[in-house]
Amino acid sequence: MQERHQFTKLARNFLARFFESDLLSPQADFRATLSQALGLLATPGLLLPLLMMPLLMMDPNAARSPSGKLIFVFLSMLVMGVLSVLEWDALMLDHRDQSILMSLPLRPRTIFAAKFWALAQFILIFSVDVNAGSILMLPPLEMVGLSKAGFLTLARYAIAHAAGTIGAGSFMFLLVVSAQATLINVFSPRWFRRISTVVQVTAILTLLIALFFFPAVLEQMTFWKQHNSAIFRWFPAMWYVGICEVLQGTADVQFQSAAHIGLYALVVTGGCAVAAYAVSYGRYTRSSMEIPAKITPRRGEKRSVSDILVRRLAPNPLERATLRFTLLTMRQSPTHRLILAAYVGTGLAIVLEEIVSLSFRSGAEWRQARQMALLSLPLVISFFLLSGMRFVFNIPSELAANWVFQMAERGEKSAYVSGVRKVMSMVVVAPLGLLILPVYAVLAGAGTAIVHAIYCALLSLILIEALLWRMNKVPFACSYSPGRFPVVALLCGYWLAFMAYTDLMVLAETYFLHSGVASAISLSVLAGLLWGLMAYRKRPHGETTALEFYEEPDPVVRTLDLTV
Amino acid sequence: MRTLEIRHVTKSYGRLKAVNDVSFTVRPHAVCGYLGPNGSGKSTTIKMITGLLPPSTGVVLYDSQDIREDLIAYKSLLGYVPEEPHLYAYLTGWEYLRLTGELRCLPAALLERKMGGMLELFGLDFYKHAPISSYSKGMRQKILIIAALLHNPQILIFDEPVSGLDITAALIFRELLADLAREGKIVLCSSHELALVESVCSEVVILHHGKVVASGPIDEVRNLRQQPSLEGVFSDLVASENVAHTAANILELMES
Repeated sequence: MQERHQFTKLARNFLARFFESDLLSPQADFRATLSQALGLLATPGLLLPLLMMPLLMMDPNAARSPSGKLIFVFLSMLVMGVLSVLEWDALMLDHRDQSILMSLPLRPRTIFAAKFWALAQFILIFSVDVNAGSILMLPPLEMVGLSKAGFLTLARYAIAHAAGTIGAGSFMFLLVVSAQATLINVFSPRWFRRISTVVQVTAILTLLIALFFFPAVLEQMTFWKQHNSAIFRWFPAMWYVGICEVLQGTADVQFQSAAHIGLYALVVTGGCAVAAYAVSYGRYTRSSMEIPAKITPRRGEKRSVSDILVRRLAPNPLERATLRFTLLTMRQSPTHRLILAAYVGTGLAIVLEEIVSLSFRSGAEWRQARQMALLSLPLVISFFLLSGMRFVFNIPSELAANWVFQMAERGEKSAYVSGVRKVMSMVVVAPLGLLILPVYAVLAGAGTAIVHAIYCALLSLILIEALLWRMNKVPFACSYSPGRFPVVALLCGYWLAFMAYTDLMVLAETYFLHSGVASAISLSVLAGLLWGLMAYRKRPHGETTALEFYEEPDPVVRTLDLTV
Repeated sequence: MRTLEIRHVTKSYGRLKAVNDVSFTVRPHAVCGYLGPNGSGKSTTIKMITGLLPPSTGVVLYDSQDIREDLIAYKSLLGYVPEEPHLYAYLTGWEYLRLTGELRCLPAALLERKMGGMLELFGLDFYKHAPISSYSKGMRQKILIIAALLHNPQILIFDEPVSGLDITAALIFRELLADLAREGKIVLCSSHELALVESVCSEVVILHHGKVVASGPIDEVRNLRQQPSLEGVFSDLVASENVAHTAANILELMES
């Protein structure tokens, strides 16, 4: 009885730990943020069937086609994949949990069972949330035009769809859990922590690249099926489409075979997750308790090359402090690295998708498109890296420790921002320029490479100026209130800025690249614009605004301020 | 003589007055002890003195000038050890101190010399390149103390400075407090360690329910309350219940 009570309390506590995040402002209401997150995740599942409705009403067969199901199965896998990677650290007990729980009279099996139950609840809550819209809305559409369309058929279709989508999401989650548990068993705790970061970043990149290649997969699905391609059999999303099709009563052998693989995959990953988790559990709890006590100093960096470089680059101590703090936080904080990886992954996915799609096309009409795509690659990467960095600067890291910035605050706000500007130039502009020169020299000749490198560097520096316009906070040292801007407006803004920064600028470049004079004029115009922005920023207008350390959340009740 | 004067300071959170009309003065060449039970408003007062919190009413004056008129200039004179050791745990001790020193605009060579020396004197030299997350509570406290001293501040505010320190480090700190006062620094030390306060502080301010219940030179306060020790004064002024009786009640409840 007592153990059961302990289990219930622990499971509730572990479940709550999944929702703790640096992304949440201390002022933000936890329930409101959780509702927003659940609402956001449920939106695609609700919107997609609505958007597809006119098409599906006109062609009832399209609703019943495997391609339609593939979209929702893939969506479920993608969301659960991203969520489980983001929750990587919460999948096991952390040091804080252990230091509290190990001193209490709790059986290890109770802790283990409660943690596993919390994981199961997490899968259930998010799988249902992500897929509820499509489970409820797709089956009625599938039944349009069916001769035997009763309640039982509707229920069967809904169950089939739920099994396919929730099964796919669960597979992704269990895959990540079993991968983590296996890594814990193979590596030492110290190496496990290092490898974890690599695995998380790689997983996010892979998922994003998969998302961008999904339209091509959707297009090719029928072709692969007709030719009994191995891709059809071994693309995991297809397994769960198979499960959905089988439960709806298909006699198609390929789908039956895919459904079998999907079922096996679910059982195997589930079994692996439980077994590896159980084995790793004891090992992890024993070893990670020992880690903090064992202090292993890192290599000193007193006179390292990077230190000399930083001193040269940032002679002002305030600038240097901000630069070092920003670099170290980006290097050490897993949350910030993951978010940045998501931005870079999106950029890489766009680049790869463009390269792959253009490499299949031939003929003179595609020459210019290929040239434009080639020229736009560094700009795409620079856009996503710079805007990603600007976004992660907003996410606090160890917010309670920001008192050190408050206590040591000086009047020179521009020095702090200058440090940030130099970080962005060091991390993005300089390496990109160095990469462009040799690659484009081989591909398009030395002249084009030099012009393109200068062009990209100038555009990146202008983008940095724009991104840091009116920035009045130290990166990672100010609280963050998510949802200050409407998501749709923000996405539209991103998209417009992206199009202007890449396509429009590359279009201009393709015109002036043919002439030396035109190139010189264009580069001079950009340099002039950059100089103008910098001069405006540096003009003596007084540093009236203080640094911001606590971002105010939106008021619960908005007033019209009509009182005089 | 430049003094730190807390004049009729009140901090309200809605109807609750965490600090209520507190006034006292901290002079150079003297260590002022700031005492009070948990929740009496000590840390809130200290946050107002450091400029981290604005008072609801009243002013904090340094050299007869409201600190909020030029907060940045005032903060540059201030060294502060907070109650909670909130640090960037992923930085190493060396990186954290360098960050603090650079934010204080110390020249690089001087900063490195001071950091190296202080880390050695506080016995942290071997661990300076280890992440703070692996430090013990005492080691973190030492980092906070070093960070507060690096820029040779004129005013030093310590909130529970010896919490977690080992005996040697606590004794060194006690000597350091006396030396700082001799050097003419303004030192305010909030602590529950009555022995520390009694041995080092020349003046004391006792806070209870957000109000000052006693202040002045320690001897005067002792004589006034007719108590042989500061502990007696503290119990007399602050302890609302019979300590021995409460302890007995706890034991009784524990065993029930």
